[in-house]
Amino acid sequence: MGAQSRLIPYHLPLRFFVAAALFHVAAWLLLTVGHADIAGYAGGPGIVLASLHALTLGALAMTAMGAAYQLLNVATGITTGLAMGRFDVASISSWLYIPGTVLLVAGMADGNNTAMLLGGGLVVSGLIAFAVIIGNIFYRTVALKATMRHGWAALVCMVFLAVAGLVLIVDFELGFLGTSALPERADLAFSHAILGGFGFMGLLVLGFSYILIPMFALSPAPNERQSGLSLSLILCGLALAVPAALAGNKLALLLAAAIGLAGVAVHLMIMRKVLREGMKKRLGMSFVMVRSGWIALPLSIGIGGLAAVAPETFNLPPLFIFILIFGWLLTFLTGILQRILPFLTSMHAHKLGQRAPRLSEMGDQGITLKMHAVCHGGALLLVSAGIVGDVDALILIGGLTGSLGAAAFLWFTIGVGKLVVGFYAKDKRAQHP
Amino acid sequence: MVIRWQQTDGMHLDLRGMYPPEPMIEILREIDCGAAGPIIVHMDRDPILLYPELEDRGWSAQHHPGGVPSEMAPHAKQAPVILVLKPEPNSD
Repeated sequence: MGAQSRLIPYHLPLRFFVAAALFHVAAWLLLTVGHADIAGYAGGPGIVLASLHALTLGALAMTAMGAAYQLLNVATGITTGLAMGRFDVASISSWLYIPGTVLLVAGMADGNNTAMLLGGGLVVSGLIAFAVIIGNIFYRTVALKATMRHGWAALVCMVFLAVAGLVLIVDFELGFLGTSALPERADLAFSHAILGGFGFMGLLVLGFSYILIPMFALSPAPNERQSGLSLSLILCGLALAVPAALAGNKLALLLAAAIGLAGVAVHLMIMRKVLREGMKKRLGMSFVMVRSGWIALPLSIGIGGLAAVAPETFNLPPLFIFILIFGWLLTFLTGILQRILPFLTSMHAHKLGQRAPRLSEMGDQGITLKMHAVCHGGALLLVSAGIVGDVDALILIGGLTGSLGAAAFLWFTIGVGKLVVGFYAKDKRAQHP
Repeated sequence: MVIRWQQTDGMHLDLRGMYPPEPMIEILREIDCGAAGPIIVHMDRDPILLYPELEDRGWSAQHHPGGVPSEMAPHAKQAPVILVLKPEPNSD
């Protein structure tokens, strides 16, 4: 099977990537608007919840979906082309997921339950379509075991995550949580965060790392037994953390954090070996972001463990969520996305027999990615300091700085996207002069 | 395991049975070690992520026109993807 038949239409991953870049800006802007409520945030609808979900669903999961559609069929040799009648399931997932996320985030910002329910339903439907596509690839793939195992575990977490999310939305209206044997709302929200940050998104990211990091560093595939050990430890940590969060058991949460840290330590050692053995040593700005994300990953688990035992100290619960979502996942994914997007463009240029600019010259990287990295790093420090010190002004300045960085990243994404659109326009002109 | 042999049309590398990114690493290692080209690679799948790396090194890839006659390969079964890799004429 040739490249042409395995490359999915460029507009499919691109629509996810552009949407992710827009939600990335929206998330920082919402955080800026809601700066006064961040440090003391204890749950509930409003701007803070909208910012959080603009980032998790809008930027992070959106990027993961686009990247999975683009890369899995290339890496495994199995096509993503599942169809329902005239429409392919990947397109259907985008039609459900992207507007669903817009509606859900808007509903959260406005406190509108109907919008949240409708948006949540569309988001979950889009995720189910996504799960069907990548589950089909996982099922048919015999190689890349580390990625496939992480992928299956991520999909299982996604089911629990979606159920918990929908229950939380319904509870805004009905307020049944905390009655009879049901968990408290705050406890379910905490387990929802663990399932989303470390379970669904975390496992997808760690799993894809076993393909992408060796690919970018040009290094042999990592040892599958070691990646299996890392995954086993992380799953043990998750299996302990989720029920412990639901039951409000602090000791079990601390133990889960320690087990999770051990699993992450194994993963990071594997990644260090991959980079050390890689043919490519100069990996550019993207790996500054990737490495920074790797620092934030164990930090987020450590802060999470501390937040469980001493929630009143230094506003640790909101700090935990911020470092987990904005620090680890966002930093890492923007690092990866700045490599995947130029690859997308280059692959399609090759398919059309056209010459693409060098990867390092796409999307005004000299300005956009440097500006993003500086602003993103600054924003992480400012907002973290603002949360710890309870200084709203620092969170405000951090939010504005993060918004500027996200706007630079959007500029990069659109710049690279315009290139691939241009290739197809040129091809069309050549065919129909 | 990489199987290599020399033919009149260039150096052949049989990279079948390897999973990403190993075939790509073998090819780039060959180029980085100073291969003059052409290199004909026999693979299970089209190495899409390889092309930008080749471009960065001033090499180009073309699908072998009509495939390679099976007697040229040491294995009876012909590879699904056969690429001819050459340095670009104007590259350093």
